[in-house]
Amino acid sequence: MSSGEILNNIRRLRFNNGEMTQEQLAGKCSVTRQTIIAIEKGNYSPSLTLAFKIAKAFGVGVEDVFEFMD
Amino acid sequence: MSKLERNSCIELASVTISVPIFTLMMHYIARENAKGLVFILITVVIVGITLFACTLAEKKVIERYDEREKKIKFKTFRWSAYVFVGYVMLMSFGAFFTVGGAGTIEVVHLPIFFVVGCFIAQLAQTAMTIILCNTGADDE
Repeated sequence: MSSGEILNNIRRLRFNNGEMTQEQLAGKCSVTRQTIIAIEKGNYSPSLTLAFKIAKAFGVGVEDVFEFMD
Repeated sequence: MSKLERNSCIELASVTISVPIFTLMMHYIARENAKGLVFILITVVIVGITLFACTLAEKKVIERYDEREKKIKFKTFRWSAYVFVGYVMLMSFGAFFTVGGAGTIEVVHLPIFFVVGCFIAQLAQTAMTIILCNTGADDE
């Protein structure tokens, strides 16, 4: 999980999905591996479209991937 | 090195190569004492075609970037615009106050002054791109 307003569970979800690599996830979402790394570290907040693509890649809802902290 | 960094370095190399070529061309047309409507039209056509080709090529490259890379690209472009404006201000007022209002700056230096500004702006953009790609500090 990353610090900041938007937390994500990408690392855990990748692990639960047969140790999916960042490269594989990037391929499924049509982005670069660097973008997945940036999102995973919390350095970049993805657009809604990309957030839905990531959730779809894991077969879960967006709220299972991202959490908004007040 | 990411695709974005590589392309930015290629752009910097292109601008770097074009500066001496442009300077040589300026030297030639200054020697010919080029002035008047015909020379303006020739310049507008050459510059227009070059800019159009570069814009199309750049558009195709940007279409291949993902959303984060596009954000970095536009952010660095904005910064390079600030650098260019800063350079123009510094050089204009700097020249005015160092040479003086009554001094003489040859008009042949003005286009070169502009092209050097483009080079400095591109250098700033490439440096920013490399920094943002490597620090991940690209979030708005």
